[in-house]
Amino acid sequence: MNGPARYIGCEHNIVEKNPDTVAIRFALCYPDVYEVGTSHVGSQILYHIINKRNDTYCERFFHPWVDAAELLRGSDMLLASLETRTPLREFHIAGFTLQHELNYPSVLSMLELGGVRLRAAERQADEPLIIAGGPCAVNPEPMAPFFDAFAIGDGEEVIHEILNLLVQHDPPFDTATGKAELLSELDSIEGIYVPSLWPVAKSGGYVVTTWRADGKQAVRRRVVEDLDAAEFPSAPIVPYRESIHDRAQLEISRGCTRGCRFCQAGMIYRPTRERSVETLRAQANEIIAATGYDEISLTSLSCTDYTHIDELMQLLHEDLGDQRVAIGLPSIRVDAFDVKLAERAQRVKKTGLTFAPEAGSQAMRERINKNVTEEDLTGAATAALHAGWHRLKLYFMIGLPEETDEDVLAIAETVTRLVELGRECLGHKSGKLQFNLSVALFIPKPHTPFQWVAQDTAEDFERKRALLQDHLRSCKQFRLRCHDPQQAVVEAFLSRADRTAADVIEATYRAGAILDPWTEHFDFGRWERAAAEQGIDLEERASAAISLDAELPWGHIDVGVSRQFLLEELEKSRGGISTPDCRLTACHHCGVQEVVSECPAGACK
Amino acid sequence: MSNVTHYYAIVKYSKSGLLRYLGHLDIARAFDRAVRRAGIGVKYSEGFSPRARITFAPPLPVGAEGTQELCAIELVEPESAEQLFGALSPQLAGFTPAEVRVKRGTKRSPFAELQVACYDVIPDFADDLKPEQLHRAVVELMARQEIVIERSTKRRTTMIDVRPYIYELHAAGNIVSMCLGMKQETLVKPDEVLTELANILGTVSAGWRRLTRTGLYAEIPPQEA
Repeated sequence: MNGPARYIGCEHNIVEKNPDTVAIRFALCYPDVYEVGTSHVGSQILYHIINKRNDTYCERFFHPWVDAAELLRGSDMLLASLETRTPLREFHIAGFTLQHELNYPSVLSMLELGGVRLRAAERQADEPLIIAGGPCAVNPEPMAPFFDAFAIGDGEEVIHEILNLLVQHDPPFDTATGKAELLSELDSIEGIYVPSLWPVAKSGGYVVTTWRADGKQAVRRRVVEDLDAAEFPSAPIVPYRESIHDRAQLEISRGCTRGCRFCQAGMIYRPTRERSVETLRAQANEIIAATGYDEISLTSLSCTDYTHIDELMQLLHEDLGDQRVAIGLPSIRVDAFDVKLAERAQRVKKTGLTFAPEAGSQAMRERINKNVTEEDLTGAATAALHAGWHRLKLYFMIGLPEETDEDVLAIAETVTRLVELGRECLGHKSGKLQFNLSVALFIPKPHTPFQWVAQDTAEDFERKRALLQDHLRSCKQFRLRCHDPQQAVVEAFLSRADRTAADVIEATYRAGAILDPWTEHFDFGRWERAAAEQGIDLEERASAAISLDAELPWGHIDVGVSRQFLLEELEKSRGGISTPDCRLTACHHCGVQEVVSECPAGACK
Repeated sequence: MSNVTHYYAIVKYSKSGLLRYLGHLDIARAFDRAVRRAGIGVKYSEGFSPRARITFAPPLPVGAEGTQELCAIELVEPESAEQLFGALSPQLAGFTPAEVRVKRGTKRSPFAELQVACYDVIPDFADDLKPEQLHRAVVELMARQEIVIERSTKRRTTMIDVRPYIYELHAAGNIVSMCLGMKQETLVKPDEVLTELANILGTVSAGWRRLTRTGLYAEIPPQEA
């Protein structure tokens, strides 16, 4: 068996409880393998929060690797928790995190391996309540038939409201009435979407939710306004098996208002909320003492935008440097790059530095609102090279709206210039120079200004990638890694899909799809055929623009950012007009200022 | 060669139960973090990416158990074994440390003197194999003057006589107990012994169902009559 250490549990900081002493048993499910899921900070937060309650025991589930999944399928054993080996179907409630659209078939696989019926409508009263959260839940429709409810937005507060309700209802239910009552009460919690209570109808090309008898029109995203007071796990589980982010993670802030127009996270986690330096310092020390990690990574959507980043880095270095704990800044804005900051981060061990200019041409950077300049980039690179970094990682994206071949070639030119710069800076040591070029493919995402635009076809992507590679052929000191175009097409289809896509997802799963984010398990043909059976041309859907006045399948999910703002941003993108960060300038009335009591954009109301 | 004195905390621990599924690197990471949590003054290597100097007896395969496994943590300065045990035990709970002793040495490798590894093995032979058959095969194998086996590397294949390095071999019920050489020149693997036994029994060895390393020793046991 491949990697049996995935299935043993018993890690340091695991929570042990007697299941007989709790009212509610909660299954926390991550629809990918252990080494991916165990690194997810959101899941660690929920595990910690739920297990602090005396009335609930939260246990973990991950999707097994293909060999173990096959073994389970062929046996009478069920997918069971790492904590107490209890099968999924014996839990009262199971919560899935939806981090990536390509994991949707794995959700179905986990349900089935756990002995739970796939469709909410078919599940019996005594089966667990199946809910979901995470970024993909901002368009819950393609997965709506499989879940009893979705929690939209931050989970720290709403999870208690869900559990309090569940304790009152005292599952398991004998009859469907008990469950129906619970669902209708869940529906009244802010941020909870119960799909079965929303009638749907065809409108234009999409199936969308329609008028509800009680007049409810939207589900508003939950926002934890005081992040500093929000709980954070000070003793996270330390996996035995190496995980994808095998280090301590400290969430310094949530949300980003830089306003990159392709970026879903930059829209759906607004406003920017920061934890205080005092809180973070205490948490960092506690986490290191409780885990023994030798590296702590400051996580946020843009860590150099944290207001007190200098002070925080200095204090963490003072506290943890002697213990040989490295402090990691996962990505650094080139306009905020500061050698001192980077050196402080890497004093214990020098790892790579990552910059994300996203586009090669200034015109494209303006269209996507990535407001950094070529000078910022060369400045940051020069400083880093002089300070002794020989390995730099660069993030670019291709397939952006209205992209021309010139825009793609501009990436090659930028890289070529950086390599020349590197040779000059390093002189006789230039052999050590290495640029790792990571090229992402643009995927139009719901609740972003680009939600209406067309995606490139897989062929377009291939052609542009080849173009890029061709123009970088003469230059040896870089490595190019590009996302899989066919995966990007499926991701685009799923992220903007309506409820009818559920049949495509189930059929793809029936055809054998699991762990699809792993390119070795991904099979485009399986998706294409499943979609065709439902009369859907997958590539055509992904590469079609959506009419600006169409009703959208995710229209009833209110993340706070208004449709009006998204439309204005799309318009500004076409004119190459930028929108500066509201924290640095003034409120742009994105809509979130109406949702929260205090918005960091200042006097915006 | 330097005559620097090194101080080691030698931890005797077990790799058993579900933790038998850990790979060697998993165990090394777990010990590294446990040592950091325990706040032990451990020595670090020099260089670009300094690592804590923690060494292990030769690794066991994934799935195999060990009841008397050894780990050496190089200390910055000598410390009391009792205190080290007190600090480490709660951090290594899954590995149920049995004892910690402090050892000083001048050699670079704290386990250089280990010569013998003993194992209890349940072989994966035919299901209908009787204990008497297994016992007879063990006696027959040990009666041989030489046991020549084939060892192949990528480059070449060599024949070597491993009989001198099979120090003990017994069978009781379906368990085969063996004490084997573990130095580079004396190394015999439990699987190699199982293959020989299977040959005698006219069957094919599918390896082991259960393998437990029961001890690691510096002295070679006296040869039995």
